[in-house]
Amino acid sequence: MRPGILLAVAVVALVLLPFGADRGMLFLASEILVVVALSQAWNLLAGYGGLLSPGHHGFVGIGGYALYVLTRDLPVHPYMAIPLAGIVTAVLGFLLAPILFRLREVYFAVGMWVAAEIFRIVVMRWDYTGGAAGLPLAAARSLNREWMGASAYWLALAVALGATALVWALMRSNFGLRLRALKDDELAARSIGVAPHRVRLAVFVLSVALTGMAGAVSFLSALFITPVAAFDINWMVTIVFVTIIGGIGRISGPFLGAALYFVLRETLAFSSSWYLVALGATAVLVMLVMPGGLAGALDRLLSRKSTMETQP
Amino acid sequence: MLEIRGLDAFYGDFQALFGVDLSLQPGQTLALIGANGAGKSSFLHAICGMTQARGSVRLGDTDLAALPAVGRAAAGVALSPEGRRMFLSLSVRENLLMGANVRRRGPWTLDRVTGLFPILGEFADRPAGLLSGGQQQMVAIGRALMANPALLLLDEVSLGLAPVVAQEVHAALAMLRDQSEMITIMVEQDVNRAIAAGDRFLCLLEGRAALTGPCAGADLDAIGRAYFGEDDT
Amino acid sequence: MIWFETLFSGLTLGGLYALFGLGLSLIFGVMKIANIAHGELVIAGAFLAFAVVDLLPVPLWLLLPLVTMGMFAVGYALQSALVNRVLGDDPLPPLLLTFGISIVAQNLLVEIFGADNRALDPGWLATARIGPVWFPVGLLPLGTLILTVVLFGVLHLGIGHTRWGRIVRATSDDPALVGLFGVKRRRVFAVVMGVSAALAALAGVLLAMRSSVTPFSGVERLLIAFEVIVIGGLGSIWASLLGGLALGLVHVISFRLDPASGLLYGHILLLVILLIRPEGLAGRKVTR
Repeated sequence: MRPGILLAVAVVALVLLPFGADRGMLFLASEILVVVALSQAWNLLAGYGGLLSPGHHGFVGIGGYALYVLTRDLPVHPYMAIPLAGIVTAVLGFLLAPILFRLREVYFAVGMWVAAEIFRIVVMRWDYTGGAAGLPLAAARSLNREWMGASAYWLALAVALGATALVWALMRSNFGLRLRALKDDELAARSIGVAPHRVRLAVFVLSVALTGMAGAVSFLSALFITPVAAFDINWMVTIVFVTIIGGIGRISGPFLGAALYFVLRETLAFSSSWYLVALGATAVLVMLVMPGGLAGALDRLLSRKSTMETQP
Repeated sequence: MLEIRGLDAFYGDFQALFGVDLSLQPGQTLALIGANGAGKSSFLHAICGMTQARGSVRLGDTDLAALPAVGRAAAGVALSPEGRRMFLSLSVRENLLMGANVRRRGPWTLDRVTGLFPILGEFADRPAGLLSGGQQQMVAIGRALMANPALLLLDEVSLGLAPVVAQEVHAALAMLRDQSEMITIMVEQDVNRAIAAGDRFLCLLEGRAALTGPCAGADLDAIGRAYFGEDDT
Repeated sequence: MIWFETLFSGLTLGGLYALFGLGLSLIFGVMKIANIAHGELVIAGAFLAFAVVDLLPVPLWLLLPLVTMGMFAVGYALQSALVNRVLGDDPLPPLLLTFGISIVAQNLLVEIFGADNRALDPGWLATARIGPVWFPVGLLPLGTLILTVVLFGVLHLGIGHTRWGRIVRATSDDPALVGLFGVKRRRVFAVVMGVSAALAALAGVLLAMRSSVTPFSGVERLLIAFEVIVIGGLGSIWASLLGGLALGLVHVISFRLDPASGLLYGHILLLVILLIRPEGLAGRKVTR
């Protein structure tokens, strides 16, 4: 079967999943898709853009809170509020960029992390966002209870596939070419007319917008949001883990990484710390023996097979 | 003595040297010449263990090829690298002392090196990065001498130096000659100067030995042809 | 009077912060990598101390060197077994590798010691005071600050004025060249990681005498360590001391004025520094 047909079948199956899955399975599937979307967004920035952000959990939280605050104060349906949450995080990212983009490498990373911490503390202390107690989803009445799980799933699917399609299209565009040139050799890229600042800014804003949308989707079905859950550093841990194991800078990486992540989590669910030990050890192992992650290993396997086929 | 047989050198998949042979007696200086990219630096790197190599390299009783770079340094190989490569956060004195790190016995001490290059004594406490190119070249040579090497490798002795400074460096190197059992391999852009400074010469062309012989009475026309790879006809 | 006390406790807290930052800055300076597991090394030091005093009641003067040596060995082993294998031009692999190590370390500590709060009882030191009657200061915080300054001094001398320090600086300058001078760079890196882990562990023990810790306390310590080296600036170990003291003062003063602020004003200080003086308070200008 051609890969295109295979892909189409997989997408149709994913779309139809709510008609054949129970509530628990659907919830897990939504969670997986949110993680895929988050990792895809982070991978866009780190794997393709070369900017390592340890502060994306701040944008997960901002996206979630944007959903809760927008639907409370404005006559917006929660589903409509999800793209709006993306816009809110994009604007925030755009405003932060002038500070963060003066920084490179470790400095950028520290700046991102600190920005996320500031988001959390501000949300925690601000009455407008409900303070440390958090906020209920005021617009919960307008949601259809029966279809709630399925809708949350479809939204997660849309964001995950949307993020993937976006990365795929970007990397095939002129913009992707410039991004790669910049990551490989900034000096050389400048000399052929790539404006580093603008390219990085665009990637950064896209990445945080996707992150915000995924965050909003993630907190939709919870019907309640708290600063501790929204700005949890474990978002970051999960994202980094999934991206490393899947293969940093590869579009299939987040899918493969998320698959392994959830397999490990569900099979080792009896102990939250042993499963994290296993995750960490897997990450270490991947960096030592296959830095390209699962996607890299798969590529090698497939190319070896195809060279064997072409050789008589 | 130094005995090299069939030396190949590689940078990843790229082969830079093809089966070079060389034999030098204690106290001899080899002038290594050749055009840019002929493999001069690769030859030195292959000897001191900075790049992948194949073939036999024996220094006295020691089989260098079997040793990693660290072991070759201990066995008495010292390099003054192309571009001088100062340790920038170290002072001049500290750079020189790095040479003595292998703790080999011999005549070279801080005092003797600053005797050879008095300016280094004067600037001993300055950061090496603040020195001029010529002074840095002296530090690089002095640093290599501090190891009391049995085999001294000098890459691009006068590249980028003002003629007067290059002269000064070569005058110091001439003082080293005939004084010791040390074997020296010197890479020098200026062929005339190289021939004048050496006992034997080896001309490389595209990674292969094109011509070799004693420096005394060397046929400069033949060297020129070997250098540019023109046919003898 | 109250401001004297605030100033004093800001300086002692800052000394501890500086010690968090020192080891991280050492690793970054020599190997050009960010050690994400640094916070866990701090906390591992504290838990190693708990384990030792649980087994046998050793006095503090013996506990500190025991933990320091133990964690030196851990750092040395980590570097030679794992981190050395991924060092290269790309800074990402070591960073992600140490991230994995941090997750493993954190959760192993949970499995072994449980997730509860623990603290180290400093005994009579907890209440001992010293100084004039009108301004008695705690012996423990004062001792911590003095120990910190002494450690900075020792490291300064060690790096700047010994053969070992010369080798470390040369390796940092040109790791590809030092082999020709008989230096095994992987061994140098391992020793440096050992020293960094030992400093982190010492900071961890001092932290555990001051407040309680859990296996999850490492993340916040890592953030503080990063803030210390960014505020102070890279390129000199004294910059870390300055960064630590500045951050400690800001935290203590802001706690006095606005008790619910947590680390907020420290974060704001960091952003302000990044904006107006990106090379840090005492750092060298980096052109990139």
